Amino acid sequence: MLANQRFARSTALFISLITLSFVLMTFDVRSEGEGVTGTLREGVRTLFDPVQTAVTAVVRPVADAVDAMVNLTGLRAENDRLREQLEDANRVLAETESIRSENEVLRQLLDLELPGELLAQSVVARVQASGSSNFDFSVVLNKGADHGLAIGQPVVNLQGLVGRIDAVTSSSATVKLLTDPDHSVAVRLAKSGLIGTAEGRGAGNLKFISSRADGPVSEGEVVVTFANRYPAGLVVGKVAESADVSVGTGLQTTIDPAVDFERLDFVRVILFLPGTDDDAPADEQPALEPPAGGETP
Amino acid sequence: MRFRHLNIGLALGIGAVILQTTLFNRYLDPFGVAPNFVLLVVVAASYQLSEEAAMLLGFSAGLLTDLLGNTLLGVWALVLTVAGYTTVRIRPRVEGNAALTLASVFALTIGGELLYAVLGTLFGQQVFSDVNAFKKVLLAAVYNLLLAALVLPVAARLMRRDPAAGVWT
Repeated sequence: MLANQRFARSTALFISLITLSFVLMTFDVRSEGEGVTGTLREGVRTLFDPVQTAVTAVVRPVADAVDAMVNLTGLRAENDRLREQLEDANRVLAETESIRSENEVLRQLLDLELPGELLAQSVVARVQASGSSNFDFSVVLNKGADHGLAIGQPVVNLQGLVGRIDAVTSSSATVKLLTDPDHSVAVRLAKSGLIGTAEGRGAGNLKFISSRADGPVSEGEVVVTFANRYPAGLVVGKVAESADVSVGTGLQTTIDPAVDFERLDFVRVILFLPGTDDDAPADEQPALEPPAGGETP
Repeated sequence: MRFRHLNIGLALGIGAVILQTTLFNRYLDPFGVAPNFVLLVVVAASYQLSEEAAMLLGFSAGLLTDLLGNTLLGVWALVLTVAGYTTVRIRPRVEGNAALTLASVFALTIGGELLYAVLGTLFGQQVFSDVNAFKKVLLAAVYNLLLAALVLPVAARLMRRDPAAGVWT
């Protein structure tokens, strides 16, 4: 009798918790992270920020030391590889000097801000925590609304585009990484000018889709952002494999992202507020919009 | 006494979520995959808790995971509630057998991660668009299996059941 009552009670609790979880999921989807669920998240994150910061402060030096020891051999090889890349880059730089001056004139004509100017209106932040699971493609920064950060602002590091701010509290911000399968970016191939969309695939290369291609794209071509949600011209990566147009599907290939998402540390948040918040891919948004002026910190 | 074990379990759950976001997902992720430490702690604690307490622990730890992460609110709460409930249900069959206990951790991790992926997909998340989805599920289970040898005894020591009470508290 007692066992039956216990079983009935635990079953009732199980059903209640499952139902509550489904209600929360539905509510979160419908409110798109805003409203009560947004406030709840913000409150809990604000509460746990100091704890995460403290734990990270303890963990980081130890992890860095272990990482350095493990990667000592790899660092030598990496050094050689980077030396070769530097020589290549210097050669390419000399070749593109004339193209750059021409490009500058064109940019002025299009009334676009140079990425260099945008970087001046930015805030440096450090990653203090990662997403909560292997399917959570986000990182938490140690700066928030108090430092001028707002939802939608792009995040870069020395390598290129990292992602964009997806949530903010007063002292922290969550960045949705470029690798998130729910994240797509309007991009342009720097050389051919082909416009398309780069989509996250969870890890590794990004997917590039363009319905406007009328010819092949070559491996190694640099891919940059193309207005709307991001300022134009931020480096996203390079075309990983050459591809040609297929009937019905347009052109599809992959992009090797410029950023190493495994070891993000210092990043720069560009205080750029998107002109529109339209989800439509670049293929359907041909108009170039000049970015709105960002606030200074 | 009744709530003491649940309180310890909740403290372990909160600690696990903090470690998951600051240590495992950032630094201890060989081959780009981290162990699902929160799920492991919920399972380890559930071996020492009553059915109700295990479910409450799973729900609380899952909700905190959802709130601190960037996932759909309630999805990990549901997954870890199911993990806590299932652990208590299978406990009589695996208790006392180390191999079966470890196998249950492996199976529960795979089951939990797959349930997360299915629920996420149902609610519009592109979980299966992740090219490494199955690798992540499998590797996380392997890591949890290895860590279980450390975590299960610690949880058992901290939350040792009282045989005289005759019930799981």
